[in-house]
Amino acid sequence: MSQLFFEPGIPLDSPNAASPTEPSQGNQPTTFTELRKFTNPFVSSLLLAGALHSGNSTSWSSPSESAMSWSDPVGQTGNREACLDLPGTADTFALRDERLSQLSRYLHDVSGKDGLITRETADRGWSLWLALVNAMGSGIDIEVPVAMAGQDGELFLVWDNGVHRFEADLLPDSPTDLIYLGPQPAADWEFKYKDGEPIPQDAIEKLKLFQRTA
Amino acid sequence: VETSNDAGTLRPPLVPGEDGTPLPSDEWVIRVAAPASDGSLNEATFNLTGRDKKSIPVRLSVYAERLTSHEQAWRLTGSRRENSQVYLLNTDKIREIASADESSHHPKLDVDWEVKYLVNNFYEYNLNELGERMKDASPGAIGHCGIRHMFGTPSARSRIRRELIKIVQACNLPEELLSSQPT
Repeated sequence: MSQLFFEPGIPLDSPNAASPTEPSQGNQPTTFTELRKFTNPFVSSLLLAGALHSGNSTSWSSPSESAMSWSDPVGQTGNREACLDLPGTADTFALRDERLSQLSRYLHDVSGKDGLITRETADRGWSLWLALVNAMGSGIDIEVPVAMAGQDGELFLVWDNGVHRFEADLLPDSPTDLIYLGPQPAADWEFKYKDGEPIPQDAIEKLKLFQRTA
Repeated sequence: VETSNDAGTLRPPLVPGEDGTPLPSDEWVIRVAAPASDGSLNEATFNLTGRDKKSIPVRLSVYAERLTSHEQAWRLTGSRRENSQVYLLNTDKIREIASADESSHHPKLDVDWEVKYLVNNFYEYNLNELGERMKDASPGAIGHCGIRHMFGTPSARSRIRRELIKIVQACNLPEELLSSQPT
């Protein structure tokens, strides 16, 4: 039966995993121990879903693909309950999984050699998505963004509910533009975000407009 | 060759104008695109590229549909399999969209003819032995044009992209083309 690894050779539930460290915003956890420290259980569920690439840029796996290897590490550690301690029904989880699967598959399909974006940009996009989710804190669950690859190596993550819009424009070799468009241009907001920095509080407040509804 | 517009009116052949002169009214311009992750239209395709920003003035690269076929546009933009769609935009609709120019000299977008020159990987012009810029002679390059007044703050550009996507008519490129080898 397959196992899910975050570091080569170290199973998620291994007692030999790295010692506990408090994850900082913008940094991906690399071990299961570190994973448990995330404040937002949805981040844990994302990671455990296998949606996070394993650290090897050639081994992206979509949640649907890795779902087969989900049960073992989660079941053994008993962390599944924690992962599922979120508002929502089975149907809403299924919908979110589907959107996550879309996002993960898309990043895989448009990245790499001869792709519209590089693997590095795809990695940055996924890491930023996780950082945003984690920055929202416990109990706040935002929609999965729509990803859009441009013609010049850029990747946009977009939340748009028809009234409000939040956008993360990842540009190769540049900081990410975090953009909010309000109902009127006077409400617009933008920020140059560098990978690994804390998510600005303004961005967190804007993203609360895109909370998932059960 | 005379063609008819949507109303069935015969129109004279479209002839490229001088660089910087406006396209006629009621023309359609095209841009290739990859669908978004949920299959919806992709606004990122309207992001100014490095090459677009190097052009003088800055213009978003598009092609006049009556001079550049969908296949030619796809090949001119790298023959990428992911670019499975063509977005069509009407010049009149484009000219109704507010620009990113805060000075209000150009309150709306515009569509100009733009000679397509050959450039290297750093977007520097390829020059011939006389030191002149070399035109791109690829099939369909004659239809090259550009959407002006899109350059502004990130949020202003985002608003423009959002408006452009609203006027898009999208069509899928044939699978045989997408799986063909670049020529």
